[in-house]
Amino acid sequence: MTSLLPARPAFGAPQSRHTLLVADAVDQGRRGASTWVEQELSLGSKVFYKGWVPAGQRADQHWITGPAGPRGARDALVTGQLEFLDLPTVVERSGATAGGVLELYADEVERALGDLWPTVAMTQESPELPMADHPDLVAEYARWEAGFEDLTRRLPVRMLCQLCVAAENETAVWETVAVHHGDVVDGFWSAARDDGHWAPSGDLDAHVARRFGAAVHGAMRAARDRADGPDLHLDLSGVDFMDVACADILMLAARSAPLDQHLVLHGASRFLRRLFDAVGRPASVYQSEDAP
Amino acid sequence: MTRGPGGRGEGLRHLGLLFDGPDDLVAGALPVLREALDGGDDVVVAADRATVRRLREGLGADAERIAFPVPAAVVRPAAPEFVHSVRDWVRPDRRTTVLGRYPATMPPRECRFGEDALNAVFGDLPLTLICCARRDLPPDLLEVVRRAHPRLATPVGDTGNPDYRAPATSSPTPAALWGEVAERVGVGGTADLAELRRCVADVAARAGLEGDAVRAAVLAVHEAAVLAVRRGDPAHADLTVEVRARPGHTLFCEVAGPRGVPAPEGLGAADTLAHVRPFCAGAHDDPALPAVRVLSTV
Repeated sequence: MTSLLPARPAFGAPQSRHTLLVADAVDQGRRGASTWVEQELSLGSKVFYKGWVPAGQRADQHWITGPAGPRGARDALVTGQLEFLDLPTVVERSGATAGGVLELYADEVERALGDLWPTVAMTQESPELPMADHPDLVAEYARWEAGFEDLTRRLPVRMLCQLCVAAENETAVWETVAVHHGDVVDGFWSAARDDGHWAPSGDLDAHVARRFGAAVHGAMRAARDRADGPDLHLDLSGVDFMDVACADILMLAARSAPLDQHLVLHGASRFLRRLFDAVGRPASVYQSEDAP
Repeated sequence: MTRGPGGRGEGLRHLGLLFDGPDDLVAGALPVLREALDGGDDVVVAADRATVRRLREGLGADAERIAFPVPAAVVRPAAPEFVHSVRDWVRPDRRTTVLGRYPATMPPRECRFGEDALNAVFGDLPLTLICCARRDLPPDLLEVVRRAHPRLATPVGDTGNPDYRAPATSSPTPAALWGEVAERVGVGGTADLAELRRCVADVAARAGLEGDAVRAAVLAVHEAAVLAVRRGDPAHADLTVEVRARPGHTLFCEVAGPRGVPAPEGLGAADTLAHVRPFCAGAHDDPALPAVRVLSTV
């Protein structure tokens, strides 16, 4: 089993980052979050953790301070390097609106930077938003995630959004991955956006096909709004394995895109190109000239 | 759709023909060849001159529609490239009927492997194969003919073969036939597919496959497992995958399961493995067991 988060050097960690950590099950998500928090504490970041506290328990009884949690979390809670807020309180304070959520987070960042912490690390557990029942919540959620993106672009903030697939409905999983397509870590695959290229990497198979489809959808949607769009430039040089389900998803996304939007493949291996041809590559999928 | 290697239908029709001399051979072959010509098949007959002459006499003008390559042009079942060459006979829009003859010098074990490979993984191909063998062949080779052909071509037509034994690909199995079991992997759901791929890649490399051939074999087995997983409860599929290798020759995988799930109905003529076939030498879906088999050649 690979690490849930790619190992990052202690020095040279990006000043800002907005990442989605996807986990199939609660314990898997906790392992990934624990690794991340431990790393941030060791880097000297101010860490804000928002999570669910089981009924009848106090914040300091949350798993993050227990044996499954990161080393040093309990001490950090005492010294103030780590601050915990339970999610019902977040909802209460923010009103579950984009404006309210962003104001709460911005206040925390401002306070931490005012206290001279060099960087701010913020993470929240899977929010269990009832998006399937409240379609208007989808747009609201997209707005506050866009606000997070803006926050991490302007200030030294590293943000880890946690998504537990077992705890969320399909709509929430789809929208969450689509919004975070630019920086996703999901078991054996991940995706990043850089220099106008969207780069999925690792193993893309039937197990993650739906989430990969959501990310492709998000990347296509975002490309249409970009100044250098609407074509989506796809860097496939980091893909170790892709199955028919995921290849189908890419080709279907290209087929269903507006007429002026194309998929431009970069770094696709000969075998991947053979796979795309086997599942049916539409004319709107181009092969760039930098093919290996 | 006939998916097994038995009767005429969409799938493979694999016939044995036992004979004493050319007249005997022609008498047994004529009913099947006439049926093939009437059905619009491509027909290929690789036989000696005496047999060809008698067939021409028996079929009259229809014999002009038959290709008569020299016998050496048809790859023997015992040859390593046999399973690969069979696919070359397949035409997309019609059946192909091929008649060939067993030479007495074929090694029986290799021959049985080639014939069983046809039965196990080429069951879906639109082919009729008539394998002719003289009754005075060495006894162990004759035994292969009797055991490896589900049906027999006779002067009264195509009949069932009571001596036929389906290839046992699952344990207990004649391991030497398919190669030793290199890996046996349990697959509970799609989350286990990464481990399966690692195992297949490992065995494929040890069997002698390289580069894209390894990637193709891995993808083909992965897709076979995905198909099987989706037939049951995707989270508790309970599949067993056996990966077998004959170094330098073949990589064979059988995905068995899901158990206790009724065979899918209403598939009709749909080829459930159409997306797999470009990446392997042969693949066969056997919903009755259920099992999906994939064969890759080095």
